[in-house]
Amino acid sequence: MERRPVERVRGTQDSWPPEAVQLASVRERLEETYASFGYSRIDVPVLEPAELHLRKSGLEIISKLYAFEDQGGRRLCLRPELTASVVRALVAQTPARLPVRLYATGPVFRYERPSKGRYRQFTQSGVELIGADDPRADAEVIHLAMHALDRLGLSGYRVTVGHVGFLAELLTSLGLGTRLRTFLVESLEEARRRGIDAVRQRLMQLDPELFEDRDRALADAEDEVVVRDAVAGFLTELGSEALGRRSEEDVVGRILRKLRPSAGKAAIEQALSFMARLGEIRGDPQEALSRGRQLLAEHGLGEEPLIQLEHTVQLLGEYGADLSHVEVDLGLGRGLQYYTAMVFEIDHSGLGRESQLCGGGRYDDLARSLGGKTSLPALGFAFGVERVRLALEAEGQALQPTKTSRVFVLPSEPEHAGYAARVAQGVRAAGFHAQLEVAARPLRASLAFADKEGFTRVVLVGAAEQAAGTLRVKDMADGSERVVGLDESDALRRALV
Amino acid sequence: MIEVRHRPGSVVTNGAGGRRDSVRFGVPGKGRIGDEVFEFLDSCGLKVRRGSERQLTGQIRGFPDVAVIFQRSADILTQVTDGRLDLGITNIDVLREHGGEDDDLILVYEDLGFSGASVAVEVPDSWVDVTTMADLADVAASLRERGDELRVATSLPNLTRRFFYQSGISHFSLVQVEGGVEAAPTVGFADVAVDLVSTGTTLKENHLKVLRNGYILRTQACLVCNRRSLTGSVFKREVVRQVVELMEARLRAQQFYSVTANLRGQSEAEVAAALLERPATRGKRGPTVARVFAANPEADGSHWFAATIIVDAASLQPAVDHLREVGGSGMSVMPVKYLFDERSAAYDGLLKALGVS
Repeated sequence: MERRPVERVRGTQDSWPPEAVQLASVRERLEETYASFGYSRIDVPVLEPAELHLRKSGLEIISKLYAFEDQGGRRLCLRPELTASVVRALVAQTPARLPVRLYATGPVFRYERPSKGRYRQFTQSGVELIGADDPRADAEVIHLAMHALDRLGLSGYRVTVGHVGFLAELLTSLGLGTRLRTFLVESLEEARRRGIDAVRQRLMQLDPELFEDRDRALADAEDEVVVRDAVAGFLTELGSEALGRRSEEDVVGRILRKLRPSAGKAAIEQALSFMARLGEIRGDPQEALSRGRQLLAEHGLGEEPLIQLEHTVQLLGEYGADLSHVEVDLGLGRGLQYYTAMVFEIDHSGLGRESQLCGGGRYDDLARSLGGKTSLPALGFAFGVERVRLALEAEGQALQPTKTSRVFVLPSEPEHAGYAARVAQGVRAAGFHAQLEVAARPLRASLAFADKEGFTRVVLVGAAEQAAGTLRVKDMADGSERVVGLDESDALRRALV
Repeated sequence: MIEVRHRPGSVVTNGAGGRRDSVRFGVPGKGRIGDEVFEFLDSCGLKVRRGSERQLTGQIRGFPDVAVIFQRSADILTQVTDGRLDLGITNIDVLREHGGEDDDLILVYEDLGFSGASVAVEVPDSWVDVTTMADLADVAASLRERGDELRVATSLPNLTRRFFYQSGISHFSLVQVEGGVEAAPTVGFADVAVDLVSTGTTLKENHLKVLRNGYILRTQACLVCNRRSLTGSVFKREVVRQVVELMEARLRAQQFYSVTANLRGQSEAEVAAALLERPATRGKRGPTVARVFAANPEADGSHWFAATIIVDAASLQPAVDHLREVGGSGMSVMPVKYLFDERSAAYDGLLKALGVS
């Protein structure tokens, strides 16, 4: 077999300078903004138990999980996002005083179909505000995300705010089971992208019986008792082998459920049409909210989610956020299953298909799902750092960090290498980046290298300089040279600028 | 994930196949697919010679530059992917299981017309209360409530995992088995199984049933090749072209019949016009009409003609009916052995995928 170079893993990238430098600078500037709002850094592991994400993250995350067994047979995963990890850490060690404000940055992994702006390893940076359930917290978190972008100098972004509580209210009132409720809330995004029919199709595929008319339906409770006895008797006859590891109660319950007259079909259709209506309510916050109020009234649903959202948007304006960037979208669904109330996304018009820069929302039940004793109201967001960099690039923003002058330090003979290194230290102490020649090559080749690499100043040291404690500064533009003493820091600085 | 195990002795890099430039063609040599693959290749005019059952290599008559290497279907996929084989016959389920997203792997022919089956979720017959994936999700949820887990036996862990997640089942454990997957629920080291179903006999023998929405995908034998080895060699491309064209011509031909009928008329044009009247007797391009020089000329001065058309299987009966209507007799129908077009669609597709012309 041919000896091929080892290739990069599909969907990952090598970032070289200057891109890598720009990414680091985006991360730093985001974190500075978080810190200015009183958030502190938390670091969580890249490796997590797969269970952490199987519990509550939803299909969107689970189906893209990098999960595997380690050498000890534990089921692990590379984290696909940061929030669950932070909440896991908080459940293990809940701070004495709440609320607590944390931020985290780092690589996350998802088995995506790679495309421009969509990678299998990418960097998230975001905050979590834990222990506050007031709309003031919601407004702070959205405001913080917007402010972070403002401080980076971005302007072409759009904030979309929604609330999954609208749909949750309806589904609860319809009396649908947990699994169905979860499915429908999770499908909000799909409904937006591919239409309500696609959601119906997928549901039908998942559970064809939901949509069937039951001609053998049980009429009343008496019927049920008869059937229950019959099934139990039948199971006894079949023997324990027929049950497998299921309990008899389970089996009987499921059969009865299948035989009851189906109220499900109508309820599901009602839920689907409600989802379609939600999808139509988007735009200017005031207008969207008043249409939302109307929709809730039509279905006789409580106004709690609407009041929360209204309050959040109002506060956001009072906090000084530019509301012209903001729209309300009641059909906004997020891929993650754990959101319980307000959700939001930030998109950028310059990014093409993968336009989402940031996503977040409130996840009041996550702590309990992860084994916490009490529920912990919380919310947060995460930026995709690579996308933020692309957005800055698309807006033509200056991404270059301030340039420090680079100096190439070159001993004219190998035996002066030690002195050259000391000179390089002196140059660094004067506030410049000094790069020392370490390759064994003729002086002429070293100079050519320095020239091609774009060094404007080269420092040369030889026997005379070493003896006198001086250095020669060569201007690569015109070839002129000046000699300065190593300890004359002002003269040195002037010569190197 | 399935680990690729390279069994010593089975890896053929440079020996056995003969010359350095020969095309290394991976063919499943054993089991049910093994018999079917020989039959298929034979029908394509690619007669495989193999010394004995145990021999790991073979030759194709008339193709001295093809070295046939016998492997398991899954090994063929990985070896074509990494370039140890240039060309190979494997199965769609194996391809999907491994993601099939390596840029070096090209699917040349998706359906070779044999080794067809479905990958499906199977549960014990006696589970009368479980008929859909939604029911199975319920079972998984109640097992989990008791601190237990639904155990799924399969040799296709990635396909299984993906399908279960999509069906809303996120808590289950996979019991990876290489063969006899269907026995797992009976024997008791798994609750349910995900496996290939073709005739359903094995299913019955093991007292299993397929969930009504438990079909994961349809699979059959397919042809794959390695991008690098074909972009790198004009010679190999030419050999592959011949093989692919034969397969394509054979597979296309299976849907067609050649029908010849004797018809009476004044001229070729008159007979042709009668046949062109109906779609069923138009043939692929139009009838071929030739004069028959009858021993005893007709009194009215008309002549006999032989008309030949190529019709697809669905049009055979309508074609015969129409031929009768216009006075056809002595109709003979023959299966078409090969059907070549101006260009080979499969090979053109391959060239496009390779980015060469």
